[in-house]
Amino acid sequence: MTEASSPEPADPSSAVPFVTPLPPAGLSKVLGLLEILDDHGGREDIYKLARELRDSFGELIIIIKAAEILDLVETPGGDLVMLPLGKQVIELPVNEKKKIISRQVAKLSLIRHMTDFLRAREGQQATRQEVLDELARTLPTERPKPQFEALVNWGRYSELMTFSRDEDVLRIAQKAV
Amino acid sequence: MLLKLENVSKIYDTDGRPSTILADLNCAIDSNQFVCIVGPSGCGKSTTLRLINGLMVPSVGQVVFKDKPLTGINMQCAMVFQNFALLPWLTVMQNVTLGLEARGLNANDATKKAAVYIDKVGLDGFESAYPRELSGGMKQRVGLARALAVEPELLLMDEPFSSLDPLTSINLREELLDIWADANLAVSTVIMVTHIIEEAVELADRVILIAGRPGRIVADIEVTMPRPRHKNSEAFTRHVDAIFSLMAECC
Ligand SMILES: Nc1ncnc2c1ncn2[C@@H]1O[C@H](COP(=O)(O)OP(=O)(O)OP(=O)(O)O)[C@@H](O)[C@H]1O
Ligand SMILES: [Mg+2]
Repeated sequence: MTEASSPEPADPSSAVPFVTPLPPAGLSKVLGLLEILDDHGGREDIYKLARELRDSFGELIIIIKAAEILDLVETPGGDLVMLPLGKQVIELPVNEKKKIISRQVAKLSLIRHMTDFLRAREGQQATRQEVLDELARTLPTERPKPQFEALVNWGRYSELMTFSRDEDVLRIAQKAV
Repeated sequence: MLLKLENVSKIYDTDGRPSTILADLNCAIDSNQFVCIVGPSGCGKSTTLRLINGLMVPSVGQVVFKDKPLTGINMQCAMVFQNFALLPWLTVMQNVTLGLEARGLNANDATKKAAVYIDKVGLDGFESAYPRELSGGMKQRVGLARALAVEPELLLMDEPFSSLDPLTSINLREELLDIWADANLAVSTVIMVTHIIEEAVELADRVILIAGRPGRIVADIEVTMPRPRHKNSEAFTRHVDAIFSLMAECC
């Protein structure tokens, strides 16, 4: 499940590229998951964690999925296991944590495809509807709205994209140009 | 001594009848401490914070901040709230600059300073977002950035994690400790209200237990475990149990 490291070129214009959807999980929760896993010595049964968190099993799975595609954890046989990068992240101060997570986010195929898509456009920007259309085209089996929200959230967090609700426009962040 | 409560009592007027909410609080809090106030619902924890930041005046006794009796709002304090208390029609940046402009900074300086603290709490990239676009964790980061931006010596927090889901709350508690330990920040001392004993034992150097009607300080417990503190350790459980049994005795 090392989606973050698969290097495939994204072609925003024509052919439908191979991209993987974003798990619609907030990154604060991913960081919290690493903390709790560390409290459990870096390895724990996923079902046990779900019970301890009194969290709906479904949501925890999405958060775990997010941590997994960011190469922070792995999930052999129903366990959640910390990877070295995950361990490194929890030992860093707030800012440094964010840098590493951002670097991982930037490698994801959907993030790469959407930054290419925006960069290829005039003003490096697109309206919400244009982004939703592109998401529907590249991820025909996913609901575009949650993907859009995750894209905005992870794009902002990694400082690759900004979204203006006033204008309803997603654009490449100035810092990322 | 950073802060002292001297014989502080608070009497509210409820339906024309005076009722004593807090009675005879005495305590002294040093700089560089992380203090948690715990106690059952309605015992006067939030009222205690309001007395400390000067939003409310004691009916009896006084609050002394750096050797001076407090008169009016304490400008060296900032507060973080359970419900975030953000203005929904303002962006993240505007929510943070608001308090700075209220303290007399011009718009330019306020923006610069706000940017520093937005960065400190890991909110870079969210400057132009509105509160409703944010998760609870990100909203509370805004609350924290807004409080830190006024560069208070004393940070007051009223159940700042209790409306967050467990994972977000774990993450923010960890980051709060980082921020408190950061010598480059003005904040030296944190007083946090919580009703979760594990949370107090995880974070605090000292846990003050308020209980009873009227609320009194019934215990004042030092927590000397080194950080980071692991919830599954024996020492951790021992501390939690000790506070629980004190609470059972007093309430
Ligand atoms: N403005 C007020 N006027 C009259 N009574 C009040 C006022 N504010 C609070 N009280 C009462 O004072 C008591 C203490 O309130 P306070 O909010 O300080 O408690 P608390 O420990 O923070 O409770 P909780 O755990 O529910 O947040 C409560 O019984 C409350 O009803
Ligand atoms: Mg309260």
